[in-house]
Amino acid sequence: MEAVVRLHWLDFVVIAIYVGFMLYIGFYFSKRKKGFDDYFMAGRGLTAPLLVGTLVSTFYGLDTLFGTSEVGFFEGISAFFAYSLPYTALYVVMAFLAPKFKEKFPKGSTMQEIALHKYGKPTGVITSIAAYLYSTNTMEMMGIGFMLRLLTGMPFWLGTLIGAAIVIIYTWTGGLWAVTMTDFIQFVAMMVTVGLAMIIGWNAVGGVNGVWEGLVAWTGSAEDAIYFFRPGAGYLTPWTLVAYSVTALAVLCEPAFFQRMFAAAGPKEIKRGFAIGIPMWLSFDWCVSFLGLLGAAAIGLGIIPEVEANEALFAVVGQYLPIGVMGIFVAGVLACAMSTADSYFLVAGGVIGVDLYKNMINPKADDRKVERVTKIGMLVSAAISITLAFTFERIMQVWVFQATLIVTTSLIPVYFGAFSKKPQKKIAGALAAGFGLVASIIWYVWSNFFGTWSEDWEVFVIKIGNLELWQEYGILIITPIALVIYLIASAAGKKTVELKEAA
Amino acid sequence: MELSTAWDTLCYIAGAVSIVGPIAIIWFYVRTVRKRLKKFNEEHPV
Repeated sequence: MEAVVRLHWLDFVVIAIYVGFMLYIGFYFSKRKKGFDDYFMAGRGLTAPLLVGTLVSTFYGLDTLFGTSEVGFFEGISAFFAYSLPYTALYVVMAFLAPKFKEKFPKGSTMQEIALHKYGKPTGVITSIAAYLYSTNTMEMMGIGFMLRLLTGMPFWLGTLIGAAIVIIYTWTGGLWAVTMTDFIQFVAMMVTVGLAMIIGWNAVGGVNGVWEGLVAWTGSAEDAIYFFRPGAGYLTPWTLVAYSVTALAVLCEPAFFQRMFAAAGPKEIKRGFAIGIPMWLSFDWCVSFLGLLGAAAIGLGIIPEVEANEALFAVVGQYLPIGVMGIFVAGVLACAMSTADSYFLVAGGVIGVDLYKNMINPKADDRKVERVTKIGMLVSAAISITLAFTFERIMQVWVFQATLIVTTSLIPVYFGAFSKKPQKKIAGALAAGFGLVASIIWYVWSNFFGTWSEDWEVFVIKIGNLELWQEYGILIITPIALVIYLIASAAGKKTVELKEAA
Repeated sequence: MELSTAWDTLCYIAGAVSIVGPIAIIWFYVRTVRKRLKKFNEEHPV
């Protein structure tokens, strides 16, 4: 495949320096760490600036960059108003809830520990499985492979393997300190380069008037072009909008967020971290949405050739950024993927090392043993991620599946367990979490194998009589049922776990 | 303000926040580290 954007040798030098620096940080912190708490929780000393960097860059990966810009390319401003704003609303909610978790569980390490201590081992194991599956880096591995193919023309599998190897090396050696420091640098790189691309690109086509002309030329009429400026346009039916909005609930049970809030120096630092982080998320969302829109207009204006929607962002940026700065942009895009991938590899390792091995199998294990098991968990997660990257075809499909899995399994038991004043019934947590996990997997397997692929909507559809259910609706169906199961089991159940903090 | 001007303004603001925000956070971080180092040196004179 031919590269969509031609890079100058200077761009490759910038990218090589960036990758080398990330690896150096990993080795630097590998020599400084003192024990497992330092490796996995960064000594519980993360302050607000570092929290902003790691929170923003962890949750925003290539799925946001390519996914949102792709929606902007097809659907216009809906990408921001219909897709991104529900997430912002949940960040605001999390800004209030996260400090409370830190106050309630000052020595906690993971979200799954709350489930374990409030409901017992079965719920702890089920939520751990969900967190492990959620933390597989399929999307990021697909994204890195896709991006390197786009830029260099190298095979998808090779790009995926190279990306995974780099991330694993520095996460393996440096732990959360390395992840946080690299996340911080990656946060700056991804934000600044996207901001630069926004201002330079938007100005170069002549602002919104130039974009409008481009869209009219691309769609063929002003009537069709106006559709790009309507929130909720295109195939976004009310139920799809609700389904996508509900995936935003994943923000509330995001394992990487929990690890960071427990690793923070205190509740005040978390509040500050979210207060500064929310405008960063918003501006990034706006920029990638409008860069997608700009891509569509640039095709209409003849500035870039007819490219695929997910290639438009690179094609349009490649037109305007000068040599060297383009290298920084590519490094920024790589940063998007790597900052997310490193965090989830560490979270996945923690599920195996902390949640399953230390908390359930061998509570007396020393730090070295726990660290070793955590690293093995990380490697297994990397292997699964790479395998799945070759299996799935669409990045957004993976995200909706993972969001469904974590929301339906963990949200209800964890929040009732953390904030209800009464002791929780063991059976309620186990049944609700178990139902969420099993139902999500069955729903996705069933719709993949027995559903009908709709070419028009590009989704799997399950037909029950006259009713047509999209695969994406799974989260809307399973979550309320899990809630009902939880409430009934709470009313009927008797056994409770002795109240103690998740630490 | 014309509608087209509003869209342009919002796009430039978003771009500017994306650039200035992280740089401001670096400045804030460096300032905090320097303050802490200064305090540490005052408490532990050589």
